[in-house]
Amino acid sequence: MDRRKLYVSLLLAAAALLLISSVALAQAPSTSGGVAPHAQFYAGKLASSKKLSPLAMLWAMRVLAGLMLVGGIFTIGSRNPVVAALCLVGTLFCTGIIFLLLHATFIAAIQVLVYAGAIMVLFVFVVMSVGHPEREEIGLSRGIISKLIGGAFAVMLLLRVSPVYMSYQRTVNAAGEIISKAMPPVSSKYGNVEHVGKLLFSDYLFPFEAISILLLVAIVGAVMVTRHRRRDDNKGAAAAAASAGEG
Amino acid sequence: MLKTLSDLVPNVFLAMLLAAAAIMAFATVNALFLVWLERKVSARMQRRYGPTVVGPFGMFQTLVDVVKLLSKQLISPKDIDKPLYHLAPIVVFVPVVLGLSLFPIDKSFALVDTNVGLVLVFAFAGMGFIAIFMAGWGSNNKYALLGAMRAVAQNIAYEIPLILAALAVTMIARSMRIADIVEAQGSFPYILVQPIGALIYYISAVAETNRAPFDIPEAESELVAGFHTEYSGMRFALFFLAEYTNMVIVSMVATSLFLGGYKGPLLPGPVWFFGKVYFLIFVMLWLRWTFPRLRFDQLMTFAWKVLIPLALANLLVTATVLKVMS
Amino acid sequence: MSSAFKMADFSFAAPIIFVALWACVVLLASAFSTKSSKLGPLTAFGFVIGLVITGYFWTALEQPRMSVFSGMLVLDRFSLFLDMIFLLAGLLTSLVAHGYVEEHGFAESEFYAVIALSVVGMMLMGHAGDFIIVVIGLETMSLGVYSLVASWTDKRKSTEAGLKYFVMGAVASGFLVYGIALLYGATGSTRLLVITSRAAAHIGDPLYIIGLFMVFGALAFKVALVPFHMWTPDAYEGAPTPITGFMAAAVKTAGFGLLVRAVSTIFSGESFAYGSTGWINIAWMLSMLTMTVGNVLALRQTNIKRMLAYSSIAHAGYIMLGVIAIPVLGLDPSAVLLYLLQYAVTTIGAFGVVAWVGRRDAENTGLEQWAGLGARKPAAALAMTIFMLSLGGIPPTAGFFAKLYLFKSAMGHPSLLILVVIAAINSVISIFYYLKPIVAMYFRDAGGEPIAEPMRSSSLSVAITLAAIIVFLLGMVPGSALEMAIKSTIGG
Repeated sequence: MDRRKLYVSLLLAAAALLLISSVALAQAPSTSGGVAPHAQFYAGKLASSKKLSPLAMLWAMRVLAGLMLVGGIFTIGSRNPVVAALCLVGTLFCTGIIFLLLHATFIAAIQVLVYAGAIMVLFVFVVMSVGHPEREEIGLSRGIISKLIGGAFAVMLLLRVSPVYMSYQRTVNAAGEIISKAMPPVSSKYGNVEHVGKLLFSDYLFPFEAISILLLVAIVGAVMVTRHRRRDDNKGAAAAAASAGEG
Repeated sequence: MLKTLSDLVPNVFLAMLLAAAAIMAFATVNALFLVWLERKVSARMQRRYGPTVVGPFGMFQTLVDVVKLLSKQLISPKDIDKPLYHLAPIVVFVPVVLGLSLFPIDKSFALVDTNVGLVLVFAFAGMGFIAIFMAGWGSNNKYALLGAMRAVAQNIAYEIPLILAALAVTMIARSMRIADIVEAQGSFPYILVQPIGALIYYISAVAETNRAPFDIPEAESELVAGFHTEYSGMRFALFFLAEYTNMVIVSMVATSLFLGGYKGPLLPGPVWFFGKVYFLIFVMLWLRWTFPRLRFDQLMTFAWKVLIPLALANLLVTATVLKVMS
Repeated sequence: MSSAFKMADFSFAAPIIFVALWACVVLLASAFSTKSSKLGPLTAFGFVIGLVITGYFWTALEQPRMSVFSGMLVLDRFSLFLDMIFLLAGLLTSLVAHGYVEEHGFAESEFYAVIALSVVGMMLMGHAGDFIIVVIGLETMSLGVYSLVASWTDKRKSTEAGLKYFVMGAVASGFLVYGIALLYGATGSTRLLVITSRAAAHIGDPLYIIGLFMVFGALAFKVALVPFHMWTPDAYEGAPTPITGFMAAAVKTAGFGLLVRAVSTIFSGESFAYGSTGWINIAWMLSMLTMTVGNVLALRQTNIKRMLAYSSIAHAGYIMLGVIAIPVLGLDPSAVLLYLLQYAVTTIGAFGVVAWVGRRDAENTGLEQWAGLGARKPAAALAMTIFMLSLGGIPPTAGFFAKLYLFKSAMGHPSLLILVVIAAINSVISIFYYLKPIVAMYFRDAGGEPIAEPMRSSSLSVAITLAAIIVFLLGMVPGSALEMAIKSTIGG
C-alpha cells in the first residue's frame, strides 16, 4: 500500500472524525432522564428540531462505518506496525462515536476511554519497545491462496449480509418516516449510566462476576509465561522468589 | 436549569463553530497568560523579577515570543516518518479542545452538557498520548522515542489512581454528569469529604500533565526535550499550548469534583470557577519550582505501590461508608 | 429483565464458585509458600471436594432444568455430568503434573491455580444459558490453557506451541464473537433459549445462518475437527505432557459439551439441521474427514505425543458422530457423555504414562526409546497397554464399551449408517498404531540404547493407577456409569 495515499486518507479520516465527533457530542442527550430511544432515532421523531435529521444521522452512520472499514483494513493490511496501531485507534474511536449516535453515551465514553485510550496505549507501548518499522514488518501474508480464500469469504459475507443491512436501511424512507418495525422500542432511559448500572447488577450480575475470573486467569497466565526462572535457580528457590519480587 | 450552547444557538453547525472559536481563543489566551505566570512565579521563587520590559509587569513578553516562534523556520529533520511527525502537533490538540467544552462554568451555563461528562473528560485526556506517541515515533530520534515511551508508561500508571479517585466522588454524588457533581456539593466542597481522594487526584493529575516533579518524559538533563525534541517554531508552540491547556483541564476537573466548581459566596460563578482553577494551576507551578524531578523507577513505584493501593482503599472505604449511611 | 436474580442463585452455582475460590486458595498458597511441593495435591484435593459437591447437585437436582441468574446459567444433569468430567480431568492432571513438574523443575507456582481457573472456564461453558457466559467461559478456559501450554519457558517448543495455539485460538474466538453478533443482530438476544424460540422467524435469514456457522466453526476449532485441526499436533507436542492430556481430555469435552448444548438449542430447527445448507450434512463431512485424517496421519508418527495428538483428532471425529446423532435420535446425549468420560480418563492416563517415562533432560517421547520397557518397568508398561487398548476400542476396556454404545445408538438412524461403517473401519485402522507402543514395550529389545525409566513420583503413580482402574471399571461394569449418563439429560 502506498504510504502517501495511506496517510492522506488517514488525515482525511482524522478531519472527518473531529467533525463527526463534535456533531455527535452536540447530539448527546443532555439530561439523564429524557433520552430518546433509538427506535425513535430511526423514525426521525427526535424531540427537538435542533437535532440532526434522521437521514443525516444515517449518513453519519454510513460514513463512520466506512471509516471503520478502512481503518480495519489498514490495521491488518499495513506493513508498518505504527500505522496499524493508529488505524486501530481510529477504528475504535469511530465505534465510540457510533455508540454515541445510538444514544449509548456511557458505553461510548467507556469505549473511547478503555479501548482507544488505555488499551491502545499498551499496544503503542509494545510497538515502541519492539523496534523500527523498516526492520519489523508485519501485515498480511503474501500467500495468494490465503488471500483468495479470505477474499471469497468476505465477498460471500458481503453478498449475504448486506441485503439484510439494506433492508434495515429501508426502514427509513426519504421523508424520514419509519416503514418497518424492525427496531424494537427500548426503554426511555436507554444507555445512560443508571440504566447500564442496573442491568449490570441485576441480569448481568453473574457474567460481571465471572469476568473477574477471566481477568484473573489472564493476569496470572501472563505472569506465569513471562516470568523467567533459570534452571539452576531451582536449587535456591528462595533466591528466585527474591529476584522475582524485585523484578 | 443548565443551559448549553445548543440551547442558545439553534443551528448545530453554528453552535459548533462558536464553541470551537471560543475554546481556541480561550486556550490561546490562557497559554499566553500561563507562560507569563510561570516565568513570574519561577522568578519570584528564585528571587528574580522575570520579564519586566514588554507591557505592564512584562505581560506582553509571551506575545512577543509567539511572534518570534511564528517567524521561525520550521525545521523538519531527515528520515522522519513525515505524516506522523506533521500530524502529531495537530492531533495533540484535538482531545484538549474536546475536553475543554465539558465543564459548567456557572450554575446556568456549560458549552456541552452530557450525563457522562466526567468519563468523557478522561477519555479525551487519554487520547492525548496517541499524539505524544506519534511525535516520539515520527521524529526518528532516540531522545524523542525514549521520552514518548516514558510518557506512555507514566500515563498508564497514573491514569488508574486518577480515575479511581474520581470514581469515589462519583459514588458520593451519584452521577457522572459534571454539573450534577458540582450541584451535589451543597454547603461544603468534596475535598472535606474526600481529602485523600483529592490528594491522589491532584498528584496523579500533575503526573498526567507531565509536569515537574513528574516531567520525566521531557527531562532536559537526560532527554534534551523528550518527545518534542525535533519540533521547532509553531509546531513546538502547539505542543506547548496543549500542555498548558491540559493543566487547565485537570484543574477544572479538580475544581468541579473537589472544590465545588462555580460555587462560592458573593462573587458570580465564573469568577469562583476560574479563580479556583487558576489557584490550582498556581500550586502546580509552585510544585514545579520547589521539588526536584523524580527518577523513573521512583515514579513507577510511587504509582503502583503507593497511589493505586491507596486509591483502591479510599474507594473501598467510601463505598462502605455510603452503604452504611444509606 | 424478566426476572431479577435472587441471592439463592448463588447457592446453585456452588460447584463453579467453589472451584473458583479454591483456585484463589491455591494461588494464595503459591504466593506465600516458597516451595511448590504441596500445590499439586492441594489442587487435587480441591477437585475432589468439587466432585463431591457436583455429585451432590447431580443427585439432588429436582427439576430437569433450572435456570439461575435470570437465565445466565443453566443447571441440568447434562451440565453437571460435564462438570464431573472436567473436575476428574483436573484432578488427574494436577496429580500427573505434580510429578512431572517436580522432575523437570520448570513451572512457576501459578501453574496449578491456572489449571483450576481454566476448569472454572470449562464449567461456565457447560452451564452457559447465554452467549455472554459462553464467551467468558471459553476465554477463561482458553487463556488458561494457552499459558499452560507455554508455561515451560525454558523450552522453545513450548513457547512456540503456546504462541501458535494462542494466535489460532484468538482467530477462533473472533469467529465465535462475530457469529454471536450476527445471531444477536438477527434475533435481538444473546440468550440461547430466546434465540431458539425466535429462530423459526429466521429460516433462510443469512444473518442467522452465517452466525450459526461461525459459532459452529469456532467450536470445531476448539475440539479440533479436521479443517480446523492444524494447530493440534504442534500444540500437543510442544505443551508439557500433563497439559497435553488436559487439553485432549478437558478442552475437548468442554467444546463438545457446548456443541451439544448448541445442537439442542440454536441449531435445533428442522430447517437448520437438514437440507443443503443444514449443519448435519456439514457435520457429517467433518466427522468423516476428522476420523479418517486423524487416523491416517497418526499411522506415520514415531513420536508418541504426536501420535496421541492425531489420535485425539480421530476421536473427535467419533464424538462428532455422536453429536450428529443427538438431534436425529431425539436429544439423548448419553452416548456422547459416556464417550467423553472414558476418553478423558484414558487420554490423561496415556499422557500420564508418557510423562512418567520422561526424565529430566530427556522426555523420551520417541517410540524407539520405549523399547524393552515392559521388562524393566512392568507397571508402567501395563498401564500404557490398558490405555492403548482402551483408545483402540478393544475389550474389556472403557473405550470398547463407550464406542460400542456410541455406534449402536447412532445406528438407530439409517442416515448415519454409512458414517458408522466408516467409523468402524477407522477404528480397525487405529488399532494398528495403538499397538505400536505395546509392541515396542514388550517385543523389542532395548539393545545398547538408554532405556526410558519411569520417574519416582507417588502422586503420578496414584493418578495413573486411578485412571487405569476407572478405565477398567468402565469397561467391565459399565452399568452404573451408563445409567448416570442416561439420566444426564439436557433440560428443556
